[in-house]
Parts: sequence; structure tokens; C-alpha cells
Amino acid sequence: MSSIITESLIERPRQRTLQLLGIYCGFAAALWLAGAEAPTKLVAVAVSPFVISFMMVLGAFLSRWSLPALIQGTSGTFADIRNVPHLIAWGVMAGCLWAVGNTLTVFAVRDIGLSIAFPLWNANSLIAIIWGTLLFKELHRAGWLRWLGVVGGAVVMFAGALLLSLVSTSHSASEHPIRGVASALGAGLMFGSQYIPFRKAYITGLNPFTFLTFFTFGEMTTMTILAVSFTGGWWPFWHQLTMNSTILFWPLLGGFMWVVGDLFQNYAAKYVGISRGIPLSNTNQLWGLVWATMVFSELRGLTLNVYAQVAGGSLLMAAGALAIAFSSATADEYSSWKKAAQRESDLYGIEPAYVVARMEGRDEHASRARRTWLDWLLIGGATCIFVGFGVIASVPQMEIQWGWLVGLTAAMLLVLAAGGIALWRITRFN
Amino acid sequence: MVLGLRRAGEEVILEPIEFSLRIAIIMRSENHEVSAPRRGWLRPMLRDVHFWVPLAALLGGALILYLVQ
Repeated sequence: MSSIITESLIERPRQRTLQLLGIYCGFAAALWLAGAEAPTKLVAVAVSPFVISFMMVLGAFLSRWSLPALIQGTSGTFADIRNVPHLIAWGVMAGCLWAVGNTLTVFAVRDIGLSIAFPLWNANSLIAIIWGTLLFKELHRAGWLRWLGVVGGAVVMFAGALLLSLVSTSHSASEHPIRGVASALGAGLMFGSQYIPFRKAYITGLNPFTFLTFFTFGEMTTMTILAVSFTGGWWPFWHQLTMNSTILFWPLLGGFMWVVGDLFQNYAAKYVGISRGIPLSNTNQLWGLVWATMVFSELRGLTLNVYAQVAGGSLLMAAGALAIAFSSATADEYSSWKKAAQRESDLYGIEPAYVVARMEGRDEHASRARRTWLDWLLIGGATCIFVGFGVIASVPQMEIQWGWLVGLTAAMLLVLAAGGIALWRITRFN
Repeated sequence: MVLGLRRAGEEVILEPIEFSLRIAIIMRSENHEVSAPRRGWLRPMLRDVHFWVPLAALLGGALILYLVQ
């Protein structure tokens, strides 16, 4: 039984289908994750970064309970985790990492702007490649061409990040560009390291909806502690919330958008690994550039040389990510992934048949998940909270290009619909 | 050596490893209890590098946040 996982068979066509699905999810994640950062522009209108980050996390928390309730029912979530209860600890830890990283991104945007901060914290893909290779046998037995694509792509991405950091320190209007760069890179380290729990969960076989449900406890708790601590206590924090109540809807919406992007990213991590899935989703930097320059008119009035450097740095990062993405896993490398999964089964006593079935995106119990009154209560409650904040919301006083905003929103909805259909048909959301 | 598995009136011949895997999957799908060693997870977790690396990163991030805010 101990070698069942490593010696199990999966048809190569099924493996290719799952890899294509994973690649699509990576790009879909990019579009949604970029849109989720747009509300952080509110920092420019003098709202505390901790208020922005807290509301974004609250939006993510509400979405991470209501979306799984809608898709698979809360009972399905708890049935799933009973197979691998130790992963609750990793889910919580990943949430803590995300909350700290997300708060750092708000400081980064405040100090150096979205178009510069975004590519810098996307260096998290480099971190993901390192952890994926060292800890989960990704790229093992992959062949020199795959190594060249992934490592070469990572080097190109890093060069792009360096170019952008030079632009930010020489042309930033902020008094603290070094602080902004440190915040952005720190966020990259947090996001890159949160992928360790992700990958651990998915090679073990956990459903992404289940993992993210426990992730929310880590992120909500950490974010509340950070917000209350750094704003000077409960009452000052509450005062900040009530003082800015009319704009709280926007980061709340950003949190919901983040969850959609995060779900796609998790499916990418599951089916193509973190060394490929994360760089794919980090093409969000290009969408971030579109949001920043087209919707919010950032970098207006600077020299052509600056535009060339920003565009060049971003394109370098995107080219590197694409090189990585198209270095698909061979059958030999897939065998190495199964060894990593075997380690989890041996260490934690997990049933091999469970691990094998889930690696192939199958679960014979999936269709039996039913929604109860608790699920509808969660969905209804979350919807009411979003609507409530939306009713009192006002549009911040800032320059917005509405045509671009509508176009980007339409693209996001189309990608979501297509991705949802594909995930249901191929994996039933496993 | 090969093993047989009867299915819908015909005999299917499988290699031993695939036979074991299919038996495990069939038993699970029919809600049979497939025995697997259940053990505590706290000690394995504390010996697991997958736990200590992200924890170290988290502490580093908290330090950066304290310095930049």
C-alpha cells in the first residue's frame, strides 16, 4: 500500500487536460487578482492603509465562506477536512501570511504607486519556484529544457523587477521610495511563502474550497490584530471605520474579487504546481499596469524614458512568466510530484486512494454534497452585508476612466463564466 | 504474477499494483472502511520543514511591517 501513490496510473490525456485547465486558471487568476488591487488606490485619498486592508480582508472572509457554501455546501467542506485534519494548521498559517502581505502591499502602493509596487511584489513567483523545487520535488526529472524555461524565466522576471525598482527610487514622488520598495518586496516574500501550505494541501488531495475556508480564520484574525494594534486600539480603529464608512464598500468588493482570483490561483497550483501556477497568475502585473495607467491615469506627465522603463520592466517579467508557463510537466516530473504526495501520505497516515483520486481531480462523493439552511444563511448574510455597504457607498473623488473600467469588468466576467464551466465539467470543482 | 477481477460477467486481468489500487478505490466508493494507520499529526508537524519555513517567513514579514508602518 505504501507505494500505491507513486505507482498509480493516470492516463496521459487526462494529465494534459488537467494541465491545460491549470494554465487557464493561472491566467484567469491574473485578471481577477489585478482587479482586486484597484480599490487600494483609495489610499491616495487619505484613508488609513489598515482600514483598507481590514475591509479587503473582511470582503475576502465573507466571500470565502459564502462561495464554498454555494458551490459544494458547508457539509462538504467539513467532510473533506476530516480526511486531512492536520491541514487546518497550514490553512490558518497561509491566511496569516496573506494578511501580513496584503497589508504590506497597501503601504507599498501608498509610497511608490500601483504600477511600480505590483511588479515588485510579484517577485513572489520567484519564491514559489524555489519552494516548489526544494520542498515539493517540482522540476525534478523535468529535463534540461524545462529547467531552462523555468529558471531562465525566473531570472528574466527578476531583471524586470530590478528595473522597476530603479525607476521607483529615481522617479517616485514619495518621500519614502526605499520604504515602498521594502514593503513591496516584503509582500512578495509573504505571498511566495504562503504557497507552501497551498501546495502541501493540494498534493495531499484537499479541495481548494475547503482549504480556503480555514485560510480565512488565519487572515481575519491576523488582520484584526494588525488593524487594532497599529491604529492605537479598538476605539480609534472603530472611529476610522465610521469616519470612512462611505468608501468601505470598495475594498470590501476588492476582497471578493481577490477570492475569485485566489480560487483560480489555487486550482492552477493544484494542477500545474506552484513553480508554474504562480508565475502564470503573476501576469496580473500587466493587467495591473492597464488598471493603473488606463483607469487611474498613473504616470501621467512623466518622460518617455520612464514609460519605456516601466513597460520594459513589466514586459520582461511577463516574458519570463510565459517561458515558465510553457515548460509543462513531463511524465517523469509528474512521477516526482507523486513522490511528494507519497511523503504526505506516509508522514500523516492519509489514505493513498484519497490522495490518488484527488490528484486526478476526481471525487466520487462530490455529487452528494447538499446545501443546508446554514449554507443559505451564510450566502444570504454575506450578500446583505455587501448590499448594505454598497447602498451607503460613494465614489471617491479621483480621476477614473469609466470606459476602461467597464471593459475590464466585462472581460473579468467572461473569463469567470468560462473558467467555472470548465472546472465543473472536468473536475466538479475538486 | 497477475490477478483477476471479475466485472459484469467478464474477467479482467490486472497487474498486482493496479489491482490493489482498484480494490482500494472500489471499497472507498462503496463506503467500506479502508484501514489506514491513523496517527496524531502534531509530532509529525513539528518535525516537518513545511511547517517551519512558512512560520519563519511570517515572523520576518511581521518585522518588516513593524519597521515600515
